[in-house]
Amino acid sequence: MQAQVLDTMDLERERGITIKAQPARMEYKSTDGNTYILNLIDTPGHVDFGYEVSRSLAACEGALLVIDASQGVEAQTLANVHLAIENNLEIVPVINKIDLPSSDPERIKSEIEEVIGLDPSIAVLASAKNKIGIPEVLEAIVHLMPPPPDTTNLPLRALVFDSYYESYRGIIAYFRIKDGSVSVGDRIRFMANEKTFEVTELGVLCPQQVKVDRLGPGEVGYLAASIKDVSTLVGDTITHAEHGAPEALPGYRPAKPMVFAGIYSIDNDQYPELREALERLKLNDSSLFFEPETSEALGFGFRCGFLGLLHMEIIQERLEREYNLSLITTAPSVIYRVTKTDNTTIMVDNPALLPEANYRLLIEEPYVDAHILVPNEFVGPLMELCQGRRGIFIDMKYLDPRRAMLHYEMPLAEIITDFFDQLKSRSRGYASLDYHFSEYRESRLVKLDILIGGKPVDALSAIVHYEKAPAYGRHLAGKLKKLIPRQLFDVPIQAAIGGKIIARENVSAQRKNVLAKCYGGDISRKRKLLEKQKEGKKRMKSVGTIEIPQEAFMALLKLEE
Amino acid sequence: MSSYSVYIHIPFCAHRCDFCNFTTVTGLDYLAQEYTEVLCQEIAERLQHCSHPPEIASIYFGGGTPGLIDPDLLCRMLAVLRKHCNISDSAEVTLETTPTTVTLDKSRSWLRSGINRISIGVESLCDDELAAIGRDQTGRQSLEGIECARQAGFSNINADLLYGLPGQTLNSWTKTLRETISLGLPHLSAYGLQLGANARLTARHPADSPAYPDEATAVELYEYLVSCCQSAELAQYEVSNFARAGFESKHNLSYWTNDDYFAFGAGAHRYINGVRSSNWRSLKRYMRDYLGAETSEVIDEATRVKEAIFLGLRLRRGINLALFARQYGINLTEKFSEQIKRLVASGHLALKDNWLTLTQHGVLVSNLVLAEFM
Repeated sequence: MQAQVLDTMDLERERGITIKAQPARMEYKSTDGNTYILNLIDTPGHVDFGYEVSRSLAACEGALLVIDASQGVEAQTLANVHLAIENNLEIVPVINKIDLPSSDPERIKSEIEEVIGLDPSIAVLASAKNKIGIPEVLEAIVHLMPPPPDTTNLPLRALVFDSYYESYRGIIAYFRIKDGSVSVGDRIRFMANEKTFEVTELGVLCPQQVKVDRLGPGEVGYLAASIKDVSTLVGDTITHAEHGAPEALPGYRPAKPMVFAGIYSIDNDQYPELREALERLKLNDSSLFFEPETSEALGFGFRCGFLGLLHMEIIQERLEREYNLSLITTAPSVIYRVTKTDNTTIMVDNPALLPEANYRLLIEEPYVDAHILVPNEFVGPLMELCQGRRGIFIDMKYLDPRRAMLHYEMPLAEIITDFFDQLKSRSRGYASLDYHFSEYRESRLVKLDILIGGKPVDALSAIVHYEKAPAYGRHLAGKLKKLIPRQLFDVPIQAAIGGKIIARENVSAQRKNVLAKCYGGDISRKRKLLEKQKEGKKRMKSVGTIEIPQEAFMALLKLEE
Repeated sequence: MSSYSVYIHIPFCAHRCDFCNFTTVTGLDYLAQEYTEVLCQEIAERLQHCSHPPEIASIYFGGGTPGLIDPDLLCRMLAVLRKHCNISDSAEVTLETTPTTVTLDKSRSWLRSGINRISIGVESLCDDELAAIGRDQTGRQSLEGIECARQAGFSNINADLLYGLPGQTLNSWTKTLRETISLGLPHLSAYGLQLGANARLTARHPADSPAYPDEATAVELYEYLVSCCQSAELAQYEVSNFARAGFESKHNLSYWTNDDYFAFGAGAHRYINGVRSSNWRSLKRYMRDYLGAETSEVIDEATRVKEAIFLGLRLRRGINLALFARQYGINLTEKFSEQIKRLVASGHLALKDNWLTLTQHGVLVSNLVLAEFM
């Protein structure tokens, strides 16, 4: 069997992470002599994909809590445990990767008891890679987790927890049956969408799709029904078109995007393809939000909302890979609450759209409760990092003799730059982060504009704290100077707050770039050199007569070198 | 009826210079005889299909060091060409060579065989600069070589110079230029040093090494070159070429005006009937398969137009828009109105009396300006 068999996306394999929850069904003959059908769902762990996890948990009776035998309990482990407890799930801890020399299962067991508060005696020691502890895990599922109740006689109710688009079969829905049963040929109704279809194909996920004729209570499967023109299926309840259930299952709380960025195709002709790609991706990733927007610098594109920075990166990469698009993503922004002088309140998810200073009374920004789990020796550097990012210290708890849990209140805007990278690099990879939105708070924020060639470039505007603005402006201008290639003209770069220039740089014009000798009549070679130069320009955005490379629009992402 | 140029590649060198990235071989001179036979065979076979003998206005022996091999071999190549072509009486027949290969005897043989123009790789007259690029000659040897060619009877002589060399300064460049110009030659070429990725010089001094003149100095070197030639009445007719009136190289001009040209020998590129193709660069491979192509590219109409623009703009007189429209059916000021307007406004191009020309400012950054039309 292929390694990482449930991480089906190339992106997941390359990064070694799970992005999409992936269902898998198996038959298992237990030591008690019975054969059981197990429906499992593999979920991501990263805080950005908590929404993916919460949907999966709502479709289950129990959860295997997989903990790395060297890393131990991480901040997001706790977050996911809380989600499972909220959903009334039976939890079985699994200590994985015990084959690694650095593993310390006994220490992890004590963490399970002290940090999470679960009974460590039921924890299974395993190495998925070396096939250690697999029967024990399966036996634990069979004996510790309750089977789904038999509700065959009730009207069909199945919860859609995932979907994706296919050009041949239409939209494919992944669901779990709560009540009743469904068969091929049934006429079904999506209760929230109020649309009716005929089931053309039904199957289970092993994890590849295997067709079946009928599925009953507790089973997880997929169906195709020539579904088209539906924007969201996830969270909807499937019932029968006739004699359907009177009441839908509780759906999912819609995911709330926290981070916003503009996504534009480099070639504006690709705008329709970008729209289609986003629509299809939304079917597969219901937490993605998008709406059209226009930028002076970048043309037509979309303002997109994401659950976090990793989510944003993943979406951009999926759009580029799965839909073959070349994109510019602007720097991420949080959503600000702005009270204007007429006492109306607006939400601003694009810094370029912030009303001018004389039209606004105050700006509020989202704050999060951030929990950082960190080995003792890195507490100092991480506290320094948090203070530098406007963090407000709440408390610090020692979870065990070696590790502390830092609790800070922080502006989300400070986290979505390169906070996570810094957190990892300042703790040699050992610290972990979990955060949740807490509330909006007033902050002294200003709008920083970047002018290139004397013209403001809307896509480079940022909302920053007034104390940080000058340093930030200088840093950004310096960075842009490095990213913008020398051209035929001087390119002045300025950072400004209101009308005041706070930093300036200049990309001096190229002064000499002359073609060499045409050796032995090789004119093709010369032409290709010039064409290559021209090609390089095509990958840039023209702002007036100035060519700005794609990376420049991302320059705001990484603050520290 | 249109006429053609002929390029003949002679890859043999006595010594490989450290900046060299070209098709050259050293220590294989013993193959020259055999190479000549193959090359003569190539000429005969490629030209035998012509319905009538092509008119030839220019022949160029490039290298390598064509002056290194026995002049009789060059003579034989010319004889085969004469058999298959009409070589006009006014044809320019150039031999490219190094100063140290020029002797009185050889020069006389060259003249006798019909070679009437000689292009000598002087590069620099400063010995430390010559040493820095691994050039096996001194400044004195260059002057002697030129003198020799003159004594033998050559009057149409070009000196090839290089600028942007390691250690070169405006002072040393001034010395090289003044001395070269004082010889009163009718033609001068000066190219910026191009670093080939695999050249030995690149390993010693990578492109960003402080050994090379910085950009501001490189600009000064070029500007001094232009003004120096101007006062010596050597008109700049192309970005890197200067000549007294009537001594412009016909061969170079045929490239810049996008004419067809034949080519023979290892690694040589030809452009015939809308196809540009090149022979094998490997000497051995060429000699085994002298009609085989290492590269071949059909130049479609759009590409032909692109080439006509970038080649035409290299000429200092620029492109005659009316003539261009007649030849290519394209009104450049319409097709590239945005670019031309912008580049004229910025002082990189000039548009005057139906001629589109690079300004002196534009010449310096011609790669960027020309790329706008690609």
